[in-house]
Amino acid sequence: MNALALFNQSRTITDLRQAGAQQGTGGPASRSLTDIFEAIRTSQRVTKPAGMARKLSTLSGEADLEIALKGSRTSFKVLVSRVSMHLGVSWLEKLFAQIDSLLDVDEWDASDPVPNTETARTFIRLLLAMKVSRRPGLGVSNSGNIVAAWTAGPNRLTVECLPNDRVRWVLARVTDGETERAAGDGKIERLREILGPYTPAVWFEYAD
Amino acid sequence: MDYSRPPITESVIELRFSEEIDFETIVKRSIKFKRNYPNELKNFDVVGEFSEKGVFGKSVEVGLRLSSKDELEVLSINKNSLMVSHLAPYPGWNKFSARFHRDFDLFTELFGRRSFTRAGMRYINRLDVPLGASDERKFINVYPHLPDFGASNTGTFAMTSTFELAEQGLGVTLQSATVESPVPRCTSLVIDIDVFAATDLPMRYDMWEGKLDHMRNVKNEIFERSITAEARRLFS
Amino acid sequence: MPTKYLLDEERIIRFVAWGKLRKDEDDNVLGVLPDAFALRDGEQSLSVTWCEYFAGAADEQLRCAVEAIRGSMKVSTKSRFAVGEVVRVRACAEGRPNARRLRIVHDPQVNNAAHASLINWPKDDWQLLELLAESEWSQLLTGTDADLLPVTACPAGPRSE
Repeated sequence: MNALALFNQSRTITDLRQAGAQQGTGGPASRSLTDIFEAIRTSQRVTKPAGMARKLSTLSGEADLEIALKGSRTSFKVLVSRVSMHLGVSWLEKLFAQIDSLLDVDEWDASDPVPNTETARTFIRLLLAMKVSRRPGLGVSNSGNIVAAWTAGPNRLTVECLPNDRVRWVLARVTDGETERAAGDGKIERLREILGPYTPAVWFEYAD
Repeated sequence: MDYSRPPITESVIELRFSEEIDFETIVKRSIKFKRNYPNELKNFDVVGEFSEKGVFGKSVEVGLRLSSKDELEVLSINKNSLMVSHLAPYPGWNKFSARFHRDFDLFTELFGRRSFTRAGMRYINRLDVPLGASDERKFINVYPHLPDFGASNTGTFAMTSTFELAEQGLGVTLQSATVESPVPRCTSLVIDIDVFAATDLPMRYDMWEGKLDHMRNVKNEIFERSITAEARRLFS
Repeated sequence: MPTKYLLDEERIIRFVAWGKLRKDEDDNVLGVLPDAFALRDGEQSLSVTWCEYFAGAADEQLRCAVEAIRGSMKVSTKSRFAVGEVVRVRACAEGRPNARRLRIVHDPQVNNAAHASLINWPKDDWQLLELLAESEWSQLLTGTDADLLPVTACPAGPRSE
């Protein structure tokens, strides 16, 4: 057994340097328009200069967006994978489907920054810290942060996952016909205690 | 021993060969892998040159990293290595080895039989220990032995040991370390086991099967002896 | 040109992308997330489309407003259109502590003549945005719903003058 073999480790996924590969571009989503609506759009143009008109993506811009979203999906799934032993296989499959749906280039609003690993990390740690049985719905904020939303009838809890285990939250809780509302921000470790008076099981557990 | 929630975060089988495959050939012939691995990234090596003129570097394409739709199954084909890996949750040896078999056979079909120079099987385990139970000696048997400096606990550590199992024809690199935990209110301990062979490496899969099973058995024994009963309670 | 203010009984539509929709764990749409009504960095007012800019019956105006949005931006399959009444949106926003009076004005754009702006829209009032999302601006149209609305040539209505 020579020294080189002895001291040369098998590489892992994270050991290998990677870069984004050039992916096929999806192209802008097509719309089937009738002639009448094409005429309507044409007739609505005004001569005033654009103020808040949205900028249309160039083809290369869309390709960049697709690559960025793919990278975000990959990073997100790898982070979930690292704690999958605490979440369970069925959680994993469904959460991956939600990630794919949220970060789908065909549905993505190009004005939103693509979520980075920090918000994904906070989101995953939020799930573990709250020991939730019920997965939230997923959204994204204008800042590109993952938003977790739990809804049980009129009872709503919305949590924006910021970097470094910080969250911003808002809730509506109906008790005896009265709606209480609250909002705040802080660290995930404190959230369950803060939500305590609102009986968070209504969001985090399945109803019997 | 089977665990309900095995602490494996990554499992890897890597084969290295001396006769290089050029990058263009890898790209051209890897298309058949796409059915199982639709995602593709390039692997790079960074080559640095240090001289009196300054520091220069360039990145060189060395292969492809192919992954499944869920990103958990990965195949890397590089100029001088083939790597099959799986991220958590670990699917079990039967499934993992079956995938290796499938990919090895297709690799051989596409790139020809290779003379291998090194075979490695690496399993990275992470034990998530609740804060407050921070004496690692309760959970693992691989930790640094220090003189008594009066410290209340050993704090953070990282250690590597490489040794030979001559009778088995294998080498082992065993690492343990404290790491920042991805789980709130926990600290984590990593047990990283790399079992490798550099001699008597077969070219055909039917001859590999027994060798891989043997390496796996050795890896398992090392793992079991590296952890305590207290650790097993964390993931049983 | 004099400022044209929208009337209380008129309707405004806000485009809501898939990522700003409130969903359950199986991606069934339940409503809108607060950020659907939030200002982005650098924005001074909230963008909407004014239904009564167009002539015709109420549902025809709604269709025209949707088409105006479709003509001005990428509208994906799973996105929605949130329809609100000016009076309710105003009452909600101006009912907040230290709220400023909203100015809801016609603000035509090159690619959307029915564009309107909500000026003095509060920044960072997540409770307000959640209240809007929950009830005061929560009627959602899917693309399919919109396609069932009657089609007209969408002429500009008397209010546009």
